[in-house]
Amino acid sequence: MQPSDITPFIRATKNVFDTMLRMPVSFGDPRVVTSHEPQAHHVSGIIGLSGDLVGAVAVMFPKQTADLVVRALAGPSADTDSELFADAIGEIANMISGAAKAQYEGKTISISCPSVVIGTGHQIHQQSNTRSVAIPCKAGGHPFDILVSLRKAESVAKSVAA
Amino acid sequence: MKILIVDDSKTMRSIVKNCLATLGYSDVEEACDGRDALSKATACSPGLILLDWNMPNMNGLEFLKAYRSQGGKTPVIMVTTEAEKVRVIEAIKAGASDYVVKPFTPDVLSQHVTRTLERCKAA
Repeated sequence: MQPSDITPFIRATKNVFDTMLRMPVSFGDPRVVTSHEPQAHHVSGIIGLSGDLVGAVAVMFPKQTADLVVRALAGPSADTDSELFADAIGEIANMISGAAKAQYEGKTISISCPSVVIGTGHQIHQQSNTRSVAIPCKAGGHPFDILVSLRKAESVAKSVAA
Repeated sequence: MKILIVDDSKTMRSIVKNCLATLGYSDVEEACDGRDALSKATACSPGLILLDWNMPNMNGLEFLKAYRSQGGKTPVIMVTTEAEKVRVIEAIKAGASDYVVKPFTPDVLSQHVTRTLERCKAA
């Protein structure tokens, strides 16, 4: 996958932040990453994709940004210790992935229920045959990243090559 | 009138609940997946069901098919990230009354709830 392949995720992220969080979001230049780059994120919402495209999407937040977006979505009482914290991060990842997959016209893609990982400095490793693109984002001036790791399903890749 | 909100995300249930409160509907029951929703729909006889699609144990479409096959007639609005036309058609064929795609503004959800309830009254 190329950095240009992630346009649906940029559109979807903007849509989710504008509509549900009412927060402006800006984007830096997407870049191809290796799975072993050290990360400074505190929490990640992860969605698996299957069907014509296979892989995962991770929405990764440093603690301060996570607090900000969770409060914007779930209300002022939803801090790091709240039971809503992980739930809200998962729902943001779910909405971004769902809105993005709808833009891949003609492809059948299913998304998983979200998983949430909490722990500063955690790393997300992708399959070795899947390229990952990181999209640097800022919400209300606070940084976060979206990691998109997608490849064509083998049956689809074969029929395209044939 | 009681409204049943079915979503595995507590955050989303809370957002939907707040939208309903602004419309004057505060009698709300919550379910966290399709299986939970089936037993609660039977127990509380809601006047409207707001239903997510992607949930563990039993998803929204499976719930809808099971609920309709058991004779459940309450209007169901799908509230889901599943935005593709084929999904919308699949849900309508299974008995959904209306369809709201996440992300949504409170105004959009309110309009769909009001419209669905008005349609049911008129029928």
